[in-house]
Amino acid sequence: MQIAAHAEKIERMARLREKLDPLEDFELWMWMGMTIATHAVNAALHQAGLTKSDNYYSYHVVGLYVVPPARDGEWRKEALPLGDIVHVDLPPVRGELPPPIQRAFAALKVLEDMRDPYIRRAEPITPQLVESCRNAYRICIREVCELLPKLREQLHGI
Amino acid sequence: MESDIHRNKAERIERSLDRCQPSDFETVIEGALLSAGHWFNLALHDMGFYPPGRDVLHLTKLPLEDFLRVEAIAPDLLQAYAEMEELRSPYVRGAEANGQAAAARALELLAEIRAKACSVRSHRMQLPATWDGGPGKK
Repeated sequence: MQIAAHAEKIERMARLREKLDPLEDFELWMWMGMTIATHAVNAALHQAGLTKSDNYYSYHVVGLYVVPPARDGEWRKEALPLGDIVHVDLPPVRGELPPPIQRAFAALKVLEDMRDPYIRRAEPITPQLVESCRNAYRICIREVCELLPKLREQLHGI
Repeated sequence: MESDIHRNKAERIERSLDRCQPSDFETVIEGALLSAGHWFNLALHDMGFYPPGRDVLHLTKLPLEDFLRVEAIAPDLLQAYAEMEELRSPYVRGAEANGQAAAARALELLAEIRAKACSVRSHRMQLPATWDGGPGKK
């Protein structure tokens, strides 16, 4: 996807996320933080020239991308060059990652590791967990903004 | 995970969804899908298909034979969940237009999945004694 489209989605989701209660709405709050962070690292990877920004979308079957119809045709799934990643290093990104992306990946991985215990299962949601989630999200966005200063401006005040 | 815990989790997520506006279409679709995942797993457990210790993450993770079995037992449920999963790539991960309509559809599908999941019956299939519910994500 194009960097500008990632940024637009990040801003919209981040505004809504601010309205959620981190404890009461933890599942959606955490999940959208992870979704925003994933868009952010994808934008950073495009900016660094490590992945392709194009008009096809990532899919949970790694290696396949969803391709919109040219007009009113059918959606297709195709094996295409590495575009947006689904999760940290999935699919693997070749080449040397700039340090901000390495740090963003590490923070995103903290969020991704919360999915199984706290979203798909029902481990207790605590203020400490919320803080850990908030911290990982902030680090990820901060590091991405090192490469995309325009995104920092867009997210100012959110 | 036990069915009552899936139910509690699904209902918690649905309460959070109430805070969203139609314009928050990515969040609506993701929340609906998260909740639907819990209802779908509840259905698999309540049909006696998979034990509580075995939850399914995506339909693509279902072994083909199990997919065909579930399709035979609860086709509408399977179809609704499949359609829901397909909304994510274009509208959440991607930048397709008409996201609000997709979010409205996600909520319709969630209501359908919830209703179907709450009314499933035991599958009554004779499965091999060694069958363990397949290699879905634990």
